[in-house]
Amino acid sequence: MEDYFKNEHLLIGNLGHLAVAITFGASLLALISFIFASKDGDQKITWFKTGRWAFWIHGVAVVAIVTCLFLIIKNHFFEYQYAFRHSSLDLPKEYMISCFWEGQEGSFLLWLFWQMVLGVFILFKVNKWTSPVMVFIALSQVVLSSMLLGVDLDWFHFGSSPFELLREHDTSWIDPNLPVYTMRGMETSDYLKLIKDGNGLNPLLQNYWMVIHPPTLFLGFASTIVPFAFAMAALWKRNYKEWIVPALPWTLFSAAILGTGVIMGAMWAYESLSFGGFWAWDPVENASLVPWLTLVAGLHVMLIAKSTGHSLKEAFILITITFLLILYSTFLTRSGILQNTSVHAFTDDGLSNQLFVFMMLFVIINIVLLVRSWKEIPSLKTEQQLWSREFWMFIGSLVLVLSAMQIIFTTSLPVWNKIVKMTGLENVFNANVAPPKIDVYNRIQLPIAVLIGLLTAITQFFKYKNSDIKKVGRSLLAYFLISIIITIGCVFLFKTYNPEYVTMLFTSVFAVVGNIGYITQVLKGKFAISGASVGHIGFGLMLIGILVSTTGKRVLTSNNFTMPGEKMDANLAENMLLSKDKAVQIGEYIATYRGDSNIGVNHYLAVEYEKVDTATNKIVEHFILHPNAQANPKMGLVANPDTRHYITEDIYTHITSFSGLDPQENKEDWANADTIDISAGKQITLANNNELTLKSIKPLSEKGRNFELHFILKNLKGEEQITMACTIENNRLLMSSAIDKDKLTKFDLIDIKPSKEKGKKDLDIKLVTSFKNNLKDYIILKAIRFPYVNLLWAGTVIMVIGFFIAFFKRRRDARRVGLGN
Amino acid sequence: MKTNRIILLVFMATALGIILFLFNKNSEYVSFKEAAISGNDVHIVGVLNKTKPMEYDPAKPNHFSFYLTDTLQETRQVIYDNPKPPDFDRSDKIVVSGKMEGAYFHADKILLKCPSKYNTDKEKKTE
Repeated sequence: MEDYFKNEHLLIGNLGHLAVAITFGASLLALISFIFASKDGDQKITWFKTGRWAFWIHGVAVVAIVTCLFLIIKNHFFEYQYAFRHSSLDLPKEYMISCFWEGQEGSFLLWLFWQMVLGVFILFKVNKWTSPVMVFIALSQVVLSSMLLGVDLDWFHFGSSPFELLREHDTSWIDPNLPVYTMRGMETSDYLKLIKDGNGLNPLLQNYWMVIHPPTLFLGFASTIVPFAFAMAALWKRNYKEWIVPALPWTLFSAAILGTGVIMGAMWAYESLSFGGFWAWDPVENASLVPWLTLVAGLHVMLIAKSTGHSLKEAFILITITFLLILYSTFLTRSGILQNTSVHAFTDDGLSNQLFVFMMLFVIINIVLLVRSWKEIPSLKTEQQLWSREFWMFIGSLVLVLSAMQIIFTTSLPVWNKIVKMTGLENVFNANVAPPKIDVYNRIQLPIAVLIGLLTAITQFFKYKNSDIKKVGRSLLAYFLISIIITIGCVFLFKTYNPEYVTMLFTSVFAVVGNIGYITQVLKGKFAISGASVGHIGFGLMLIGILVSTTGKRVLTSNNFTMPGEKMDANLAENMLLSKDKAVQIGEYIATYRGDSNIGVNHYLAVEYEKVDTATNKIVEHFILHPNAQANPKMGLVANPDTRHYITEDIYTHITSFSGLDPQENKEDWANADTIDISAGKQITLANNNELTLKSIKPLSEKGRNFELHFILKNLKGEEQITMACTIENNRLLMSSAIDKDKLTKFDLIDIKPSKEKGKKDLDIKLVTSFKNNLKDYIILKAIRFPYVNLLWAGTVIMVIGFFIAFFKRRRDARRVGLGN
Repeated sequence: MKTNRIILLVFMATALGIILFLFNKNSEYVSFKEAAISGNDVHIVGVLNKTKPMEYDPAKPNHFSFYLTDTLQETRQVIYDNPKPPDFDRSDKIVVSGKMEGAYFHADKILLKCPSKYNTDKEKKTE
């Protein structure tokens, strides 16, 4: 039967299927081997060696899957549904890799790939934790690779294979007019001739951020498995304290990468989405932020546990829940449950049941192990002292958890609605809760940020166990005063006067100043141990950047223009129409839309900005932005903003609509045609308030068959003379027309006849006047100024550097006791 | 009781307070009728009423008006202070959020559910 179809490239797909099978089988073998290798006995070493071999084979197979899929996309083998759905012939090479994360299969593959790489790293240096940790990593690999199996049983869907052929795929979603649809009826054997091109990659993914953001974020997701595996191994092996030392560098690595991934997502949104900002509390964004918050909280609690022995249980809970939240987030965004609330949630591809089962599998293993060990986990009888570092660090972690809870609860409202409806408790609970406005998030997260800033500033000055509060107070006093002075300066610089914002500004500044102080005063500038403080400085800067750019954001295209008789809130009028070549005031700029350069489906709409110094009348600033609008046949308008970056502010512009979108509308060059009658000496007011006078009708020939009409057109600029020639041949008027100097008004002569009024020898002229259609080429633009958004990006870089300094320090610590990688 | 216990308790109470506050702050998916009664910020799910006029002139980009029929078949005018969303005409389901202001619904956000965001779709063809 396979030979029936012509021109298919089945070899590569079969290799891919084989690689998937090996990936799954080898990870299963690795799982079993590592379980036995974790138990004491004679066979321990043999099992470990088997497990390691299995994992390496697994790794090679994962690379083989990636290679096969890439070759299929690169060679445009559209007989494979993945290539058909996610790529097209005109897709630039650099975006081919982005096809991997448009589809579910590709995303799981990416995740699988990163976890495999991390597993290989762990296997490099063997110690007593290696086998039990690898058990959980191998288990996760079994789970993830099963998502790619694509085995359909009657009662369950086991994954979805990226190597599925188009003709094997459930084709109901494909265009019914496409011949492939009839493939099951085997009506055509050479169907590939009929497939001219693939469906193409979502234009939002055709962006350089989308090449680097998903792999980073997925490495962040994948890396949370390692601290999780350490915690689970510790519970399983009943070795409750030692795991913290080898797990700490991994936790720091994970926090650094996941944090980078989240902020890269924000940058992508800022650079290429048109919602006007870097964060919209969208479920997909929230789903990646929440695990980061619990991970950072877990990191701090791990440090408490390591240094004092307190809070070990909390460390277990937070580190394991981080990984479970990653699974939950994947479930939320991939199961289709968020479709009513998020613009970019995925639709259900039939994998949500499997995802749910796997999530529950890990939840149950986690709960079973925690419950079994709960009473055995050592907890100190002594209480934490009030003036100790661990107590305030613990409070800080709780605040982070609180923040995470608010976000995840709110994001999960659709799940809540569904549960209420499923359990039939609609009479008791409200099943129609909709997500709140962004404002609600901001109002709750603001006091949380205030607390976090404050705790970040002061906590390091306390010592573990107990400290002299007077001494702490003395060393903090100077930084407190410096921060107040800086805050006052910032209030005037940033023009932030709202007391809530000023409070947050102060604690964020205090966090930065306090930690700079800690590095210079306490650590004496020792770089190698300054990781925490550097990270905190970066975090403080991020908070300042978020606060100032969000609260100081100003829509430049907002105007106070209200239509007569129309009630309109001036604040809501945020869009401005720019007709081609007509200058408009936007903020302190004079903006002119200069035209559309069209490359394929992409329209690059040039908007020229000029800033004129009113005193000297000189142009002090000049730039052209090219916000991009893609008139996508499948998605309508996809607008990519263009931003002018300065050190202290960004001018962000994006198109909300443009003339190229509506081919039916405004196609005519000339609009508002009007017929007027005029005779010599008469004056008429035209529809555009210009005045037209027919000065004279001059016969050009003896027979009176040729005339010249002399008009005067009067407008605001002055007068101009318009001459129109007209000829009558065989009693028929030949069409003639004239256009004014500015090419704004057109006159078409349609009739000329002797005056009906008796006793007059005049001629009556009938003209059609029409006006240049300004709306032929226009854009509707939104321009926003974001001040100091660079503080957020710079703060992120500094924070990540801090995480890595700490990572290297903790890795040295772990290696010193023979537990490091 | 030790001070740190008190601080922890205060903290927990605040957390609980915030969560309760939250549940009162959420919007709801309702009908026009309920929206008119409550006057709150709400979400309304509906379909475009194609028999009634849609008003949009690019020269006035901050005004777009259309008629939406909610799930209880009640039709009301919706006013949106932004340009008409480009893929508006092809959406089969529309979620508007905002509040009732007299006879019309003032939307600050429109979420369109197109038959399919990206894939070619059967439904679109049959329209």
